[in-house]
Amino acid sequence: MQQRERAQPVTIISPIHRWWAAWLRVTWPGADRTPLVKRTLVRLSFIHFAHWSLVARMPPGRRRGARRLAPGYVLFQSNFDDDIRAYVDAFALVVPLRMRAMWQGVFHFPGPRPVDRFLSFIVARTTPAQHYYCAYPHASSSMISAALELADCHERFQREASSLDDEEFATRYAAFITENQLLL
Amino acid sequence: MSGGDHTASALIVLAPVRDGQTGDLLETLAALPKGHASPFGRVPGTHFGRCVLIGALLDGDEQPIEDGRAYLLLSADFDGDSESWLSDAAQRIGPELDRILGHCEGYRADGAARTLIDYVNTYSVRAGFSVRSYNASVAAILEGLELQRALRRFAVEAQGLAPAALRGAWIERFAR
Repeated sequence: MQQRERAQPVTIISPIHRWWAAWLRVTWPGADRTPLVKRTLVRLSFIHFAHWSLVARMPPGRRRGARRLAPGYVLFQSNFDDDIRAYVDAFALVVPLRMRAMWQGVFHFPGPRPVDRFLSFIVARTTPAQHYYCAYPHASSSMISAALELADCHERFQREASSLDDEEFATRYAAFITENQLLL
Repeated sequence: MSGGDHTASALIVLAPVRDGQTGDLLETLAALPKGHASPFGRVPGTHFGRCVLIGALLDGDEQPIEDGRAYLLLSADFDGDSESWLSDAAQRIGPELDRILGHCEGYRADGAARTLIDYVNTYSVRAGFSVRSYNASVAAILEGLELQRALRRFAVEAQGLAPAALRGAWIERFAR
């Protein structure tokens, strides 16, 4: 049976008001270093990696001789699991304030609610990828997090198990499986 | 295995496509091998890679700017720092990157790693805010997923084994 590919790309580049570029420049550095800001996004558990960038000049990596882009742009790239509708729904319902903090200054941003309007806004601005690669295409973000946690637990159990006799091992093994059944 | 001192980085390149080259660029991208044969898959430590043709940048009234010039977005997420990944990429998939970026303004596909690296740095966009739901190398993730499968299988197969047989089976399967 062919396994379905879990990770999907979404790419959006949208023009922003000039004042919004200033807001992003001020707020992003702190937000990017603050785990608390990201925690809820991580807990949504269907994002693998996502990046927001500001593109204000071309070439973007050169200061001298670059031409200013007016308006500037927010470039959003995400690698997420499954359906974009569920992805946008969760963003809008679970982290509406963070969505505003990211998108408020994008031209024609309708706000995160009602969700249908936000979804139409996102879908209309999504550019399909011509080529996409994922190193672990059949694993969802939550599967990966579980596998990494399980690997740590397994390592601890291995260390402990090496000094146990058969009976003790059987008891500890049963506990290991019970404690980690949600990660299996 | 998870967390620790692992670092992941992203390289994001946004470069203007040469006039009249959009169709050729699309053909080049369509011809790239997919899945694990993808050029991105040949650079060790690459988690994700994408190439996106952006038809035009729009203004606030949703009208194309710069006469509708197209842009190529090429980006990757990988283990380690950008410099190492890029120099690895130049060595391993230089010809493919030359073919792709050869459709972009100002790129001279001369096969030299330095040309590629300089161009990519010139057109690179910094990520301002990033979310990564897990912090581990590609190798650790693949190993973790394999271990997860093995443990799941073992849990089913070992049901009902007597303690000595269970311990023996465990050692046989998981002892390093």
